[in-house]
Amino acid sequence: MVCQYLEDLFELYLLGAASPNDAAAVQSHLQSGCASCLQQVREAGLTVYLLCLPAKPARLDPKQKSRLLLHLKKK
Amino acid sequence: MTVGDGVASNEALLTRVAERDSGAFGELYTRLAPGLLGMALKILPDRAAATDVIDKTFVRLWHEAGHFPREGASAAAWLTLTARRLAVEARRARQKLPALPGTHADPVVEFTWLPRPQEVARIEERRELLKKVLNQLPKAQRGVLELVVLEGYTEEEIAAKLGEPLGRVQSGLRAGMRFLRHRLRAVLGTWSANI
Repeated sequence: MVCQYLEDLFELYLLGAASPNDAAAVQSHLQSGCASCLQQVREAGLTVYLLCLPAKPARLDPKQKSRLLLHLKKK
Repeated sequence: MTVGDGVASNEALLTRVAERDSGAFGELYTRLAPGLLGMALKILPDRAAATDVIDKTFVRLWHEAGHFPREGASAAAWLTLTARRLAVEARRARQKLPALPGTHADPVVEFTWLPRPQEVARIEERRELLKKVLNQLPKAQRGVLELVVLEGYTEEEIAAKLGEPLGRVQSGLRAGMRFLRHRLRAVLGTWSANI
C-alpha cells in the first residue's frame, strides 16, 4: 500500500516539487531499502531526464572552457 | 569503454576526470555543455546567470567525479539533472523563494536513481517520438509540468499561483507524470501502447 501510494510521487520528489510531508515519506521509505521502489525511482529518474532535455543546444563563449580549466587547476 | 568507432563513452571520460585528467574533462565539456546551456537558458533567461550555472555544474563534476558509481549510471543524466537543479536554485533565490529540499542531501539516493547509460542512449535515439509524446499531454497539464520543471515551483506554490485547490494540482501533476512514465515504457520497448 505504501509503495503504491509513493510510486506516484517519485518524479515530483526528484524535481523537489513534492510537499515536505510527501518528500519525507519518500526519503524514509527509500532509506529502508525497498528494492522495488528503488527500481521505480530509477524509472522516475528517466522520466525526469526526458522532461529536462533541452530543445536546442546553445552556443558557448569559446574561451569559457579554458577559463574554467584554468580556474580548476589554480585550486 | 567506448561507444563505437573507438570514441570514449561519457562514463569512461568521467572515470578519467576522477583521476584529474583535464583532457577528458574538456572533452565532456565540449560534448555536453552546449545542451546543458540550452536547458539552463529555458530556466534562467539571463545568459550570464545560465553560464554561471554551467560552470558550477562542471566544477561539481571535477570535485565529485571520484564518488560517481563506476557502472550503471549515466554521466549525461547526472550533469543534466545537476544543472537543472542549480538553475532552479538560482531562479528561486532571485525570486526570494525558499530553497527546495534536495535529493542531493542524500548521496545514497542521489546515485541510485540515476538512469543507466543505455537507457539514456535509447531516449536520445527516440527523441523525436518522445517529443510527440510530450505534445500529447493536454496543454493545461503541460503548462503545470513546465511550472515544476522549468520554473522550479512546488505543488503548493503552483496551487497558490493558479488559485486552485492543492488536491486538484496534485492529481493533475501526478496524472501527467503517470502518463509520461507509461508512454516512456512503451517507447523504450518495455511495454506496448499506441503512440
